[in-house]
Amino acid sequence: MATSTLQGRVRTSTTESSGDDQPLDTVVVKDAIVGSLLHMADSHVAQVRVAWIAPNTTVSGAQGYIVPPAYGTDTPVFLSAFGPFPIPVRASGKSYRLRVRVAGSSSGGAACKFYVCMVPAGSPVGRTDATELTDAHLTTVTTVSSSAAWLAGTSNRNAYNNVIEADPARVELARRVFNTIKPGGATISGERTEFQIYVFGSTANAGTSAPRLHGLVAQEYVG
Amino acid sequence: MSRTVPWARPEPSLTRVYAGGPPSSTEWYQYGQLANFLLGKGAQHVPEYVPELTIGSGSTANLRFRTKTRGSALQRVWYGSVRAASAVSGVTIDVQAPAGTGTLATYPAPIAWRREWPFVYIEAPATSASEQEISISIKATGGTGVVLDRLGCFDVDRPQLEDAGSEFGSITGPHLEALLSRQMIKSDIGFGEIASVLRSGDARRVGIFQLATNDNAPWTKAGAGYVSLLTLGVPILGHKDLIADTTRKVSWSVYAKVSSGTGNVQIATSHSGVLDTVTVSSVAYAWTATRTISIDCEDLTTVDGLPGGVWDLLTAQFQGGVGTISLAALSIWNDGA
Repeated sequence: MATSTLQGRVRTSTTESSGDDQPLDTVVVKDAIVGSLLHMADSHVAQVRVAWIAPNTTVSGAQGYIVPPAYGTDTPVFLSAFGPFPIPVRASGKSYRLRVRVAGSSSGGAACKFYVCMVPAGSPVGRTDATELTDAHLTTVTTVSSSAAWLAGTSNRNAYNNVIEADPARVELARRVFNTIKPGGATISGERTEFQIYVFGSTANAGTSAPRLHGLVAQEYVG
Repeated sequence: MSRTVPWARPEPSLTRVYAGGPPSSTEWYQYGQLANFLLGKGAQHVPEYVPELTIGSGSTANLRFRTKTRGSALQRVWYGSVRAASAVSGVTIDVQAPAGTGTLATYPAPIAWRREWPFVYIEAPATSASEQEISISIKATGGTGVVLDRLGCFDVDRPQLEDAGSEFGSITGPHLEALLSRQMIKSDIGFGEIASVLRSGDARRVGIFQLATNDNAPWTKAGAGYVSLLTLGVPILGHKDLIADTTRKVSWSVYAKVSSGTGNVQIATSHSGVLDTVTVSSVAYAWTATRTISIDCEDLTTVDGLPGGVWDLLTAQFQGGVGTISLAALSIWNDGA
């Protein structure tokens, strides 16, 4: 949910910010200053990190989906990694949430499941396989259709369908020092958190059906 | 004086602001930090996507995107992954951004078949807050080439804004020390600086949807009759600005050409009701004139931000006319208008 009072930016006039040493009205401070700052941090700052849907195969000539080269029944296998990208951190120590949508299909009609994890950049896939699939920053979606469709998902440990986040422990693991430049070119270092999104798939029948990933959307949302 | 940008977002308490008890200097300090956070946090220009683009050995792929950059950005990161196009490994890639003219970086590690190999390229563009093309070129050498599996681009966060003078026209990030010593009264170097960020500071969600392929291997359609560009409509959502807003204006353009006559590209949205068409008449690749549409914006009263619990799905289709239309990029971005 929003951290601001009014879920929107409140316009301020130039006269409200001119004239040194005049007292400020409480409402101006609360709604126009603090509320607007919080709202811009809630909504403006939040970026779209992934927006992929496969082009129509009839015009692209491409396969149009990602499928694992090998897979077994009821065993999650790695499908794809996105990122790393810098996800902002909230004052609570948790990351901004990601609003996630997955497009998938089953090649043969058996139930296929997709898992979306938000992990510190560079996390080993094997370890992710073992621990992330039961954690909160995960959404799972299931389909039996052979046609590509956006799928509804549920997070394992919270009530927010299609929304995932990283807890403070994983935020700390994702924290990196990086070098960049200042105006004029001098080097300066900073800190940011770098995350990746891992997508896994599984099938209820490896003999007939493969999980096929057609698209993924991940949008930051303060939640 | 310093205009530092905190790595984690401050969250000043609204309950510390009440009549008869003006917020303390420590609260003002957090307001200043948050204002600098808005200016210094980098934008994503190209939301990551899967080009699934094969680049043969000795060939170069040029990928172009349209966006409006932020004045605060000093560096951009292009990142993605490639894999060998066949079992013949040992391929390397040369990356340049902007395409063909940027500093050349070679990624020498042998790239094996079926193994995605990540790359990160840092571009230092001239500071600009204008609508423009950003681009990257990738040349494959060795083996049978590579398949470009992922691509994205974001601005590097600013750890610190410029100490002296103004970087963004009339907007400056607050000097945090000034807020410590001048609490609860108007002051051009305290309150005035925060107010200028709120009025016209650029903290946009920039990239909404970007899709590009090599202009030597475009998506094509001969003759009239629309054909879908995408497998499914893609979920999009703009940021919310003012309190009563339910939509967000965003811009779009395509990089395309026709062999003769004219062609069309049409986009539509499922919830905000957009139906907009652009005509392509150039026989050489060019960006079409930028058009503006209104898409859904976030509803911050809901747990997932979706207005009415419904995604706004963007679809795109295109057609030739007497000739063939070649489409190399579709860009949708928020220019802040």
